[in-house]
Amino acid sequence: MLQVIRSNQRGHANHGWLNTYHTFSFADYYNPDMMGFRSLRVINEDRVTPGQGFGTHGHANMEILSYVVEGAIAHKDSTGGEEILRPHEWQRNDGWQRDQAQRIQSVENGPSAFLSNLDFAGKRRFGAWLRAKDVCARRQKRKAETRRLK
Amino acid sequence: MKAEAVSYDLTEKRYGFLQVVKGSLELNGETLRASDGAAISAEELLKIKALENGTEFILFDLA
Repeated sequence: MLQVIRSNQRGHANHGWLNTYHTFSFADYYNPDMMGFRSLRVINEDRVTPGQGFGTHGHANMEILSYVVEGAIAHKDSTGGEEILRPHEWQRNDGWQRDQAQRIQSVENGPSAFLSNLDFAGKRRFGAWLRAKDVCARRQKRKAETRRLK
Repeated sequence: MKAEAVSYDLTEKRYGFLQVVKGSLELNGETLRASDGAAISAEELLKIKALENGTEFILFDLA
């Protein structure tokens, strides 16, 4: 069975520096029928003005994947690591570490777009270490993959 | 244009979520375009066929 969510059914917010579409409820977009699917809680499609980006922020008990569609994204985390992500590259952030924080900034010329998803947010009500265990266990079993087709 | 197809097994009663990134495709007969998504349940075999060149998608294999 397929439940299709069309692009024009998503939530939308344009903050100037950030033009973002939310497949599931996120920030000011709230739809009780769109609270995620299984452990997938958020899919956002973001377009970020070059040189702008998200400030450092924490993600508790979430596993975060970022996939670059166009342009390039600089990503810095609380461990001091920084890397540039380019189209077709993934970044995974194991947000279940309590001190995890990240900054995402678009670089180079032209608009950048990326999709990111924040996983396991729906399980916030459980205890922290149980969540971490849960995330670790599930991470072994699940995977995300991309395919390019000609 | 040559249509290319891939298939994916959703085993052990797992669920899927397919997000189209670019282009358009057919997922088990359903046409999905750029930025469309599909929550997948009770489907054991996913047949994914590109409808245009450069089509990209993300497939989540979920418990």
